[in-house]
Amino acid sequence: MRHKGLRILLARIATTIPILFGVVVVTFALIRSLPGDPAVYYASGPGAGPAEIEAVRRQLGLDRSLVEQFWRYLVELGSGRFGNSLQTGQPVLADFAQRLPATLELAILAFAMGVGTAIPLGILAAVKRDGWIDQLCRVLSSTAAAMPGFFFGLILIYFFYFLAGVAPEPIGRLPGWALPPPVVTGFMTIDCLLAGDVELFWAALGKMILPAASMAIFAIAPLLRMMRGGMIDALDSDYVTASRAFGLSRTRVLLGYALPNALLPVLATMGMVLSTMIGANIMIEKLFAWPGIGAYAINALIGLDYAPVQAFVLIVAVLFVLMTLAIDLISSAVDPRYGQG
Amino acid sequence: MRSDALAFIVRRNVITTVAAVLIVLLVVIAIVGPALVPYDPLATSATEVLMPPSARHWFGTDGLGRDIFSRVIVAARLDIAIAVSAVALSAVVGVSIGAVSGYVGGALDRVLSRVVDVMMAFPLFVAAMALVAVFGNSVKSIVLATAIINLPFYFRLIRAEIMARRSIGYVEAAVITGNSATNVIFRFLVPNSLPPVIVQVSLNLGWAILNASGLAFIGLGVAPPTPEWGIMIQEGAALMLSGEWWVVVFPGLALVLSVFCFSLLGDGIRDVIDPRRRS
Repeated sequence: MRHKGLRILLARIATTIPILFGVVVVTFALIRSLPGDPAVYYASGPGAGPAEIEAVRRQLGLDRSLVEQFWRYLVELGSGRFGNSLQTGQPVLADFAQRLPATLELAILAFAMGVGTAIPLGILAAVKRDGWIDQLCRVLSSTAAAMPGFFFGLILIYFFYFLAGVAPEPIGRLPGWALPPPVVTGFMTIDCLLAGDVELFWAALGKMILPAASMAIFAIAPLLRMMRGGMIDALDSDYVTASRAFGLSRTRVLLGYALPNALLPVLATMGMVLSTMIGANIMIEKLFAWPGIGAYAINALIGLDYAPVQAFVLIVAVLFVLMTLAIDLISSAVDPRYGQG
Repeated sequence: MRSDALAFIVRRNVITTVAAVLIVLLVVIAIVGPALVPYDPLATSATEVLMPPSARHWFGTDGLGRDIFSRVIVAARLDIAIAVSAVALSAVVGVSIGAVSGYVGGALDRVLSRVVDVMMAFPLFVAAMALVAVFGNSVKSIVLATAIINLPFYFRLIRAEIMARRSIGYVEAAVITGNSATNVIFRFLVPNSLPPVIVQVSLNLGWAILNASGLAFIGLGVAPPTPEWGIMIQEGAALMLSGEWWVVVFPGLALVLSVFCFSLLGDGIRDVIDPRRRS
């Protein structure tokens, strides 16, 4: 029994290997098909002369066969060399490391806001099915599904920054007057607390709320729908009827029995939610001048600086595959029926 | 008899009908609108910069004094055209490849399925971005990129339908009576598997509009001064800080309303086709 479970687990993990390989092949093809000369992207900066570019070309083996080039590409990736950014003049990996915490910090808050809104509302809508809360949730999820996060973000800016004046200026991670705390984790809020600056912590958190809410709007519609659907299925099931018949309290039945089962379909849509959140992240970082990897990638793309673009595509796709795998594994750990029929 | 059936469906699906009517209206606007707008969407005016909505300029004017109403209407054609051509391309190619792959099976199916798995490994918007970079910064690239990233959905959908139907009576009858494989796939199997594809197309259209405007918003595909909803929102973004809301809000509402109608229509068609999945 145990061994069978382990074998299924390993088989599932093994299926991602060809996909990851395919992802690397695609990014390899991407660099070759981007307009321009790859040797130029890999040369150390805009000042690179023809001699240096020629050296890079030989170093990259661009005169060799495709198979050999691909092998070299794998070796480069394996040693963490993604080339240099023309715009910052730094190795791409260093740029990423510097910006990733800003993206993660924002994404985690956005995800928490999305889940924190969608899950309780979905439960309420299912419990009060066809009541006014349910109708309201239907309108909310349909509107959220049609609402581009960048437009929603601008509406929030208008109301909370321009009209009410409660939101800080929607640019960057810190107010203009503030000196950033020493970088420890890269998470601005945590670094502020580590530096003992509570006032700055609140300022940094305040800066995150509007962009996070704009990102969360992308996640709310699918989560809310799946939560409501899952909860309705669970409430109609025999085990819920049985536990009611046993005289268990309403809260106990709802949160102890129906909820865990209802969360399974929600977990299953998480991959799609993740995919839209990654896209949302690019647009929202651009809108709020948030110094994360999304804004970095899009600025590089606009500036025809392709080394960061291919690194971004590769890193994000690999992360996405691994997170999808994790969601799958969690789902099958929670629900033995998952993936068996 | 037929009109009775239609009346019945309309009565049972009021919201869907409203959405369908609005979409027809949107398409009409996209076709004839540019000929009817009161102002040239590209004409700037130094004397009428950032005027709030009024009788003269229904939606106000933007930072260059251009009439926003005219621009929103003219943009409808571009946005709808991008979405329709991308989704049509994606559906036709995806359905054809998926149907053949599902019917033939074997090594071909295994290889194509692997390729599709790899395509699905890229988050949609990131894939769209990368493809636009490869194809060059143009409207055609947006259409191509949107079509390519949607292929896997049609491929998987039709493949599953075909595989489920392969051994049904009418298909076996078609094979026995000597139809070629192409005939069996495209005359018997595909037409019978279309309903879920139609639902997907409708939901996809709304999504394609969002995707195209999102790309335009971050500066890809459509270049100013072309009127396009995403670009107009981007151009007005900074003005939100100083309270000139109309520059962003009207193109934004046009965007939300059209996406909203397409997704309502998609949900409605799904309910009509498959009552069990009614939401």
